[in-house]
Amino acid sequence: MKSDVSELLMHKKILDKDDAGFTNFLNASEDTFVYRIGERESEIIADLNAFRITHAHVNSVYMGRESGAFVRSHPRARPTTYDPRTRPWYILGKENPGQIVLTEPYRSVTSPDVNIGVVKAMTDEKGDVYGVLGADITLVNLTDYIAGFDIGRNGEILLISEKGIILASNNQSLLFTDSKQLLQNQNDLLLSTPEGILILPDEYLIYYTSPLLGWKYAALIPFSAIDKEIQDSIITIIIFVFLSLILLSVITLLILDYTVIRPLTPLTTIAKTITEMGNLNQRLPPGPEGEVGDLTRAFTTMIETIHKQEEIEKQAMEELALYRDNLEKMVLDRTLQLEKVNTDLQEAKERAEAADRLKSAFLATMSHELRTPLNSIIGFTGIIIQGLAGPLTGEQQKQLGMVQHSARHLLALINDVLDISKIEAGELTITREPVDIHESMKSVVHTILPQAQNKGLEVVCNFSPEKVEILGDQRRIEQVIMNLMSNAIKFTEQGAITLSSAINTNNITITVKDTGIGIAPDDINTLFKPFHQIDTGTTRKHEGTGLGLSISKKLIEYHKGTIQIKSEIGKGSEFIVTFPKIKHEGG
Amino acid sequence: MRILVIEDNEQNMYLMHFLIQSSGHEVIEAGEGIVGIEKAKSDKPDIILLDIQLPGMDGYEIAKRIRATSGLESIPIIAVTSYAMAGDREKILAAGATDYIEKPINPATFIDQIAIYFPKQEVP
Repeated sequence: MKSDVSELLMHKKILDKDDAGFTNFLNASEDTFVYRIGERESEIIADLNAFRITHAHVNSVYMGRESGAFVRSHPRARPTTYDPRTRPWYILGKENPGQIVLTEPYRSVTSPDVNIGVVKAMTDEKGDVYGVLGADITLVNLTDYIAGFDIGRNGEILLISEKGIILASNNQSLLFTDSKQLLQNQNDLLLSTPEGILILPDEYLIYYTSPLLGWKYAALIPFSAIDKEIQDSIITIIIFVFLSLILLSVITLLILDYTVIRPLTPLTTIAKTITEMGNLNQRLPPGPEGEVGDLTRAFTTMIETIHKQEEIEKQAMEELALYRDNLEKMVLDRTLQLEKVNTDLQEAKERAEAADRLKSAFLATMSHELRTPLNSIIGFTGIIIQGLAGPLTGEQQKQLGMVQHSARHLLALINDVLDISKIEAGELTITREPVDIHESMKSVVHTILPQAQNKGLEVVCNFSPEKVEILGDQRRIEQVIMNLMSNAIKFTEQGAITLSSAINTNNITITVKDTGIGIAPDDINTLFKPFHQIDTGTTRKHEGTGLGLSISKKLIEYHKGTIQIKSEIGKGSEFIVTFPKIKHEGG
Repeated sequence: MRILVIEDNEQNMYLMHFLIQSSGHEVIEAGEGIVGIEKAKSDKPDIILLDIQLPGMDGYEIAKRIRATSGLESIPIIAVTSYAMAGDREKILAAGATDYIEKPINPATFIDQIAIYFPKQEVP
């Protein structure tokens, strides 16, 4: 029936949204109403009527529109005011667009029949409802039908709708009344339970529910009628009902077996195989349509998914194993590399240590090897100059003096180079003994005095009268003073060199002051750099290595002392050396 | 005085030989350590001049061996050294040398420097 209504809704003419000029009964009056039906409407009416005629159980086909129009398969007998939009069937259809819905059973206006409307909303492309189409199905002669049940002379059969409307009864007074009137407070029990027996004031009500329609079949049996015969009848009904139930159960089981259990069997078998064997290469037959089919397909999809998942996991495990092996290899390689690095480092360390020893040995060897020939050169030159080997001419004496001077200069160079090498190699060590600083100063003056006198320079000594000792290496301290005095003489052409000392609380200051060429302020900073000798420009390059001051500064630092310079170009320089002094107890 | 000179360099040996002989003393020459130790034992010198940088056995070892020889425990040993490296002086004295003279020697003062250690002449 529902599909029949759908079929009707395929008609383009019926579906046409345009309902201008369609009949409406919004302001109709029975006395004055006249049908004025246009061409389109008359074609629709023809369609609706054709449907009514071809479907025996359909007694009316009708269509309501949002405009209020109402078109029916056959003319209304009494065209009273009627607004389809307010009718339950229309509201029901409008509330359930897209669905075919059944209305509550209702009593036919013209006959004792029960009608049920089958309605469907008409919607446009936007989903808006513009009308509802309906067809009434007549449940013809329901009352006659149920009257056919022989349940005893005084019994009554009732057919009650889901909402409690009595649809059929051989008691006309009960027809289309609410069952609540009959059952009072027991009505809810009737409507909420599928079957049972209710005890009413004068009679029993025995009922069960139709599984198809949800309607209840009920039998009213008066107490007075319960004699043996009636009891037998009741028993007959009960037996009949129970037999029916058993039969229904059997049929249900058979249907279940065919529709559910059998299609499920391969599913069960495969599930068992998978569980027991772990074999996922199982495929199911496609299965029947419907829910079991859906289940079968879902099951197949599940198996495939699990199978794919397992494949992925297997691949992942293989990949993981590969990574692990690779990682082990990498760790091994890295370990070997590290071991090699360690070995290399050890070798490098040993090489460095060997190089260090070699450097020390080289310095010692050079020192010895260079001095050995110089020893004999200077020695023999001295012997000959002294006349120990025989008398000399004046010229021979002069030239040998030059040899001796050059040899001594060479020796000074060698000493300086070796000193700076030792300092830079960290090989220079100094002894720590008390040194009488004034004795050392006197010793230097004594040695250097001839050089100063040769240049016509005066040497002025201005020593503190106090005896002062410093902790250090006498040879090295004298080397520093000698270097400063030697420089002063070298860079002074006339005037005096003054060597003075001053005692402070914690230290002694030794100052070497000259009246020489002086040093430009910019040059003072570079003065102590090795191999640096200031280019005086106008004067000749002075003899020397340029190492003297650099060595002196280092030696002063080795003695925890400091050196400062004050100088003025053309006026002279002043070198101020400070050494910490030894403090004697009580003095 | 009998002066044993242990020195490998021919020119330096001759230089010291000349200076010593010029001042009227006797020279016993040894070109290497082993020979020097043997001559120290056999020739009974009054004083020994010892070069430190020698091929084979070096001056430190020679000084130790001479000092360890019976009868030579207190003989003056003067090291003639070029002050090669830090700590050399301490090492020389520790090895048993009595004193040291820095190379290059000064011919004018050389004999005076060693004469300090000449044994006192016994007055007859």
